[in-house]
Amino acid sequence: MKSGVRLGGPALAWLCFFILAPLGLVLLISFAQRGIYGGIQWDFGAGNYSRLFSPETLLIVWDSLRLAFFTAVVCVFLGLLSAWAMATASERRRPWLLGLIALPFLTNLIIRVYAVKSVVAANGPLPFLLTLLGIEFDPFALTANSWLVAYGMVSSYLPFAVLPLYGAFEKFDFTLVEAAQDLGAGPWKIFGQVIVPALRGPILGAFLLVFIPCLGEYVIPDLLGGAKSMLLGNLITDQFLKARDWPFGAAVSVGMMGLLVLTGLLLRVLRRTK
Amino acid sequence: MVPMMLEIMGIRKSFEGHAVLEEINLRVAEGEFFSLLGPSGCGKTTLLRILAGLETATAGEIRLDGRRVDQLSPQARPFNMVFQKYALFPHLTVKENIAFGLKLKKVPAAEISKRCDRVLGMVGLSALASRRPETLSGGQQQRVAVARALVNEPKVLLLDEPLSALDQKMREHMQTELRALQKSLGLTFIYVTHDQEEAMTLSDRIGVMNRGHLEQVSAPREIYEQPRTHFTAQFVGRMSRLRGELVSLDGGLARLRLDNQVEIVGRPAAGAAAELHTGMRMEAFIRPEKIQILEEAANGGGRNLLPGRLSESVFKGNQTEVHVDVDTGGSLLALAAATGVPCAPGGRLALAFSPEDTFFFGESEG
Repeated sequence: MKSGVRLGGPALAWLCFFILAPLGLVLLISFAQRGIYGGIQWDFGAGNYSRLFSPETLLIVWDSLRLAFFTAVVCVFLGLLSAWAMATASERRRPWLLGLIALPFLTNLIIRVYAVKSVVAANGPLPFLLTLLGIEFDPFALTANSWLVAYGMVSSYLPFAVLPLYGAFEKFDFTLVEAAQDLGAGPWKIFGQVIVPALRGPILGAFLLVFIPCLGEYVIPDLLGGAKSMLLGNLITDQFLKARDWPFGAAVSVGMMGLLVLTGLLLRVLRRTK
Repeated sequence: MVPMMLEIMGIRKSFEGHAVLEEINLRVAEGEFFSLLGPSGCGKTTLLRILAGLETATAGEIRLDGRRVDQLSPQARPFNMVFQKYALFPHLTVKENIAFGLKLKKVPAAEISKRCDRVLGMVGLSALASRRPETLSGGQQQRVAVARALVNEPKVLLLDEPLSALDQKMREHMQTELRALQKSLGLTFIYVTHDQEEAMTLSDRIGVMNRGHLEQVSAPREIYEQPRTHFTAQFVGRMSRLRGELVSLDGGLARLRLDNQVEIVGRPAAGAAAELHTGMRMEAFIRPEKIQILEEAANGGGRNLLPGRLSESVFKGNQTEVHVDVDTGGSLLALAAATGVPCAPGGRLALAFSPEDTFFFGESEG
């Protein structure tokens, strides 16, 4: 035990210096005030936190939660199906499938998002196709909308769900599926009553792995959602880079962390009780 | 004759051009305890999985009481399977595991509960109904697996090496239990095992399998005492073997000339009579317990008599294994009662065995 502490020492020091200290600073700033010219004025109060509960901020929180939840659920569902398919594929094919899933990781996020953008762009292939087919559409709504954001989110975060679920499926005892078949269960019953309950732990893990970064995501909604879509990530970025209101930005960050911790605890309870 | 119930007709199976099962024909009667016995890779599990519908045969038919069932999905077949590693659902309790099949069939809840309680009682697990499978011992999990299959009242229960994960004592205990359960319910069991003792103990009939085909289908005693093929003879029980050349055929008996001109008399393999010809190389099989150990000068009394030198005797408690290098070449195993080894290693003695207990098989077979 003692030697364990000693071995972990450098990592712990790193953690304290580069993560806990800045976090403390953020916490401190969140109680300060914005200076008239955008600096930090060290008058402490909880005013930033009460601003968190203003209707417009709450709306942003709600939109962010909704998008992150939607993305995580879709990713976990698709992840389960693809991980199932991968784990049952022949030994020869598996590394290739795994490579395909990891492929997006090899491409820069911005480039991937711009690739999506260029498909729907005013002179891109999708509007061209729609015009060709004679389908009427609003070119401005097409280039930036919430479905596009959802698509971008799911496609970017899917590997985070697939990889842990694939690991779980590799260890999964597939005779359980055969036993369920033998007892009269069809494919969807097997999925819902055998696979999902047996993999509850990995499923919750994959959900969190997608949900947490999604809640703070700002690049994808910014580029694909246009000016209308404001989410927690954008709100925080804007406070630091545009509004120059660091204290409020810090307060939103702290609030988001609280939200994530709460989600984690909620899932933990969920896992225990069922 | 008992009306035949399960008929397996011309079942073949190949994986990627490689034949795993070649032309399996078999009839299993209602209420029969039928075992498929064979070494690993002989196709016995594949045949069971085809019966369960978990794999499809390349050719052939399966009929139950005259109606084809091989085109039905596994869900729709009136068969249930007990898996080698039990395959209990880890997230469900013992009782929920057992209720799984009935719930899918939309049986009313009250009846589900009643039927589950009844099978739990049958396998002696009533007290553990609300436990999770991982908290049970191997033997208990095994009983849950059997109960989960039985509760659906299948026409045929398929068991895939169900006892292979248990230790010796537990295995023997479960053998007795399974057999009693099968008899009391009058259910048809098809039981896959590589353990010949298990097959002998449990079965009404045994099908010995090798390389994708059935070598012999008979009652346990017949398998042991009247092996029809070279493979069955060497796979089931222990055998002492001698090699020689067929010199004459006379009705049911034949003479085999061993390497130094000594001749022994025995029975050529049943069914292979047409292919027998003098001069062919054959192998003689004798059960060790059918070989009598005599003093060197003794008279065989019309039996085959081979003198030799005792090379080793191994004390096994209730009996002693006696290895004898016979003068004709080769080593024979005989069994002596614990006190009955006539001489020390190196000493001379003679082995006697009757033609009735000596089986000749073509050397190339199996």
